[in-house]
Amino acid sequence: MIERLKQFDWQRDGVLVAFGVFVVYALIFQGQVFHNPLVWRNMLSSNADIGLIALGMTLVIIGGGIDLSVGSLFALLGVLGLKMMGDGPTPIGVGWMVGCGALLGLAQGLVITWGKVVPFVATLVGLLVFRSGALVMANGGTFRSENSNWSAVASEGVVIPFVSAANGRPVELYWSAFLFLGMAVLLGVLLTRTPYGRRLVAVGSNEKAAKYAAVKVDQVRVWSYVILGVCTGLAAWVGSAKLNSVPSSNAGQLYELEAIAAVVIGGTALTGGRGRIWGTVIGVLFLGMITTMLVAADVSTYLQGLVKGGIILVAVLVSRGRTRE
Amino acid sequence: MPRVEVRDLVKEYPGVRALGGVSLSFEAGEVHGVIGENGAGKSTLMKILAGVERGSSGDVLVGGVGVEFRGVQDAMRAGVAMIHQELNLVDDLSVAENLFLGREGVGFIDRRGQESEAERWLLEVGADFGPTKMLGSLSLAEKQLVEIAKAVSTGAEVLIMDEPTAVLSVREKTALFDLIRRLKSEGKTVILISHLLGELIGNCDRISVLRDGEYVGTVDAGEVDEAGLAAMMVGRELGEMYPNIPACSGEVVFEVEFFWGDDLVKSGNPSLTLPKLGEGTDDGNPSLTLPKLGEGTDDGNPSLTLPKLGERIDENNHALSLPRHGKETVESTATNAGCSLRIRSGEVVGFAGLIGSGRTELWEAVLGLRRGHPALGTFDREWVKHHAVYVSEDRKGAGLHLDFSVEDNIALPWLGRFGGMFTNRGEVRQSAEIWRENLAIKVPDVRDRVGSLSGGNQQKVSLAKWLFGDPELVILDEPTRGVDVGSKAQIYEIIAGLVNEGKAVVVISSEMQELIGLCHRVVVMRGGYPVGVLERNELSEERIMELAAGVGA
Repeated sequence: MIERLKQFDWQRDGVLVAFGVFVVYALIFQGQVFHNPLVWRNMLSSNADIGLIALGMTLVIIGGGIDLSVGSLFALLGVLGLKMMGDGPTPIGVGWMVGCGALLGLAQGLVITWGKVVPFVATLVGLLVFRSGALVMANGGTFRSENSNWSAVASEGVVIPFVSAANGRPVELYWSAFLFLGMAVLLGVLLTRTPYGRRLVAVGSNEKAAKYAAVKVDQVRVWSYVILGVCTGLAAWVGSAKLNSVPSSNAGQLYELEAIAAVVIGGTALTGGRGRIWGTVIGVLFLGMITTMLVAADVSTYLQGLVKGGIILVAVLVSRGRTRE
Repeated sequence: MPRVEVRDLVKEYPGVRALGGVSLSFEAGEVHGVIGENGAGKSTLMKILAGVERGSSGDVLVGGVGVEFRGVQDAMRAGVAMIHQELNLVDDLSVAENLFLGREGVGFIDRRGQESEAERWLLEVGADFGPTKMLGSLSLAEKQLVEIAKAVSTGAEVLIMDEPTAVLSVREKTALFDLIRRLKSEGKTVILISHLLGELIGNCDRISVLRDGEYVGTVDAGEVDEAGLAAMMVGRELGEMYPNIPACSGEVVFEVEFFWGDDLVKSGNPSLTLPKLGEGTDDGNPSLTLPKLGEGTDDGNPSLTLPKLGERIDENNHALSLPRHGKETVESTATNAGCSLRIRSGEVVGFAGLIGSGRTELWEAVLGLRRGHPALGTFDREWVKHHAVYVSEDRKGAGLHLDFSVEDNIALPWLGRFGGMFTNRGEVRQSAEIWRENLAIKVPDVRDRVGSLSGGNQQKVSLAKWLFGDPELVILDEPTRGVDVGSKAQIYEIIAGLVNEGKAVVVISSEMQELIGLCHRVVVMRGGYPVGVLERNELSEERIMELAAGVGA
């Protein structure tokens, strides 16, 4: 047992412990809030959009890249999808969002690999261009869904058995949460069980070695951006369903940073080559929980950034200690 | 029919002809050595064979059929695999994952299957670790075994090994050569690139020599000795390349204290077992009688202040009473032996060692470019600040601003001398012109970008930049890396000029010929510590390598 404890990799898995401590603390000291299953349900579903983006971001970062454009892309895809769908059926809107997300991810991937533009700059351009596109398309305002069924993904779901809210009503877990968790399983399998996942790790860890092992480095990179584009498309679906509309000027604002933060907290190295999907899931929940706790403890919204910033700083310091050795 | 053959292979890089029409053939079931000085074209040739680069013209034939490798995949498919010097493996993947990287197939990965197959290949090459180990946790020798297992598992019939023994211990080397012999008996072709002539003669069937991108010849290993190979390699009298550097008799300008590597002493390496000061060895050999530190040896050479191998400093000496960093003073043994290096004006001291031996790091620490170094003792930091300059090995990264003009690069550290608030551009230009003249920098205009110059001229600009400050101690890190032969000779001339002006020069280099040709004495480092000093008359590649690799004679 003590041996096992000694082998515990604090730098990599410390976040698990921290998360566990947080959960226990919340259950004990903020019981009136956290004993309520609705709080957990809401935390999962309201963070599903950020979570979906963070999952894709994990792959991009493991491959040695970064994407700053996802917040703007989120807004653009939301507006675009709602516009193309009109009052038509939901799959059309989703199709447009996911399809265009994949295409724009592909475009950025190509600019980065073929165009040899560093990811930071290429996606910074995306950040500006996509936001501008969203604003133009929505005329600067909020774009509403004309499909009365559109919000279903974020307001309907499956009843969780054996759980009931304080008022005795059953608790539903929304589809959006399932989408997030489902994608996590899918991408987790992709990362750890398929040739693509291994090649991605190889590219991010040692590009030259990957090249010499006959890995098509550029192709692997481009695909990671396409996958992130798809994830952003799904996020746009979930996010626009939450509000039944997309405010073109501030939808997805700072999502890129929040997603990167979740990835880093989850133990994925910003330098690439090392990371895991389930860590990102924990990272997303961690950030979501902190927000919930701060709100529950009546901490001013203005102060929340300070707390989150501090936690991200600690996460990065700890993960850097690992590479320094 | 040869297994692999190249005919009239030419490779040109912008401004450099790396291979000038080389023809060579490699047979099945032979171990074939390829040697040449740095820049002779060995690596380029091997990269073309392995599909990493493509030749400008000429043919590559595998099994008598002309091939054109567009990438590593093509070479792999043709059965040619290269084991690179800087091992190309991914630290964040396991051994098995590395073995199958790039050829996992499609669909889900059969982890179990891969691991059991990896285990088989590991057994094949005699590795004693399992396939699930993370690569990052392996030693260099183990990583090399993984590379070899990987190559063999791709069905490679031709294995190219680039300096495979550079990082290995004696035992590991023996194991490697056993493995190579086994591969040979299975009919595989092994191409060995090495600097160690003796090693090649002992383990190869044939040896081919390249020089300045040209093919010199191929000899049977049984019919040649090291001197013969060296003559083929160098192809010119050393005197033609290296200027005459007069014996040194100047004043000591700089003294710095180093600590010996203690692991070497603990391991009982007999070459470090030393007699007491002032005493001879048991056999009463008088030539081992030692002078006091700071005095000359009995051969009267005044510059020798480091103990020579086979000598020992004892506790009476102040240098020995210093504890290692972070350690309490211990009963003095050679474990804690410090020694002071005194560099005289007009002296060239070389620093040799393998990659990773800490040569650069040690001097960077002396110069305050990095925080401390375990082998570094006391010295006058203030003096270094004002009188020493360091010309980096990393010309493009740390040495020059490639986008700056020649004049701006030279003036950058000394801007304070060209006026206060506003820089006097006229003076900057004038000074740059003077240096262009002095060092024969080939540049049409000193306002041209440094990035547009050849390697040799960039190096001269780098030298001008630091010599401008009129230092007393000049530390040159790999002064001729990536420099053509002509500029090399000119840079050696510049060093000779510095010596004549009475400057003290430290040359850090991995080119042993260069150290032998230039230096009054050479400090050899291994594992972060100096392990020995060779005087001019005892300098040879073999002696340096023995010390650097820790393979006692």
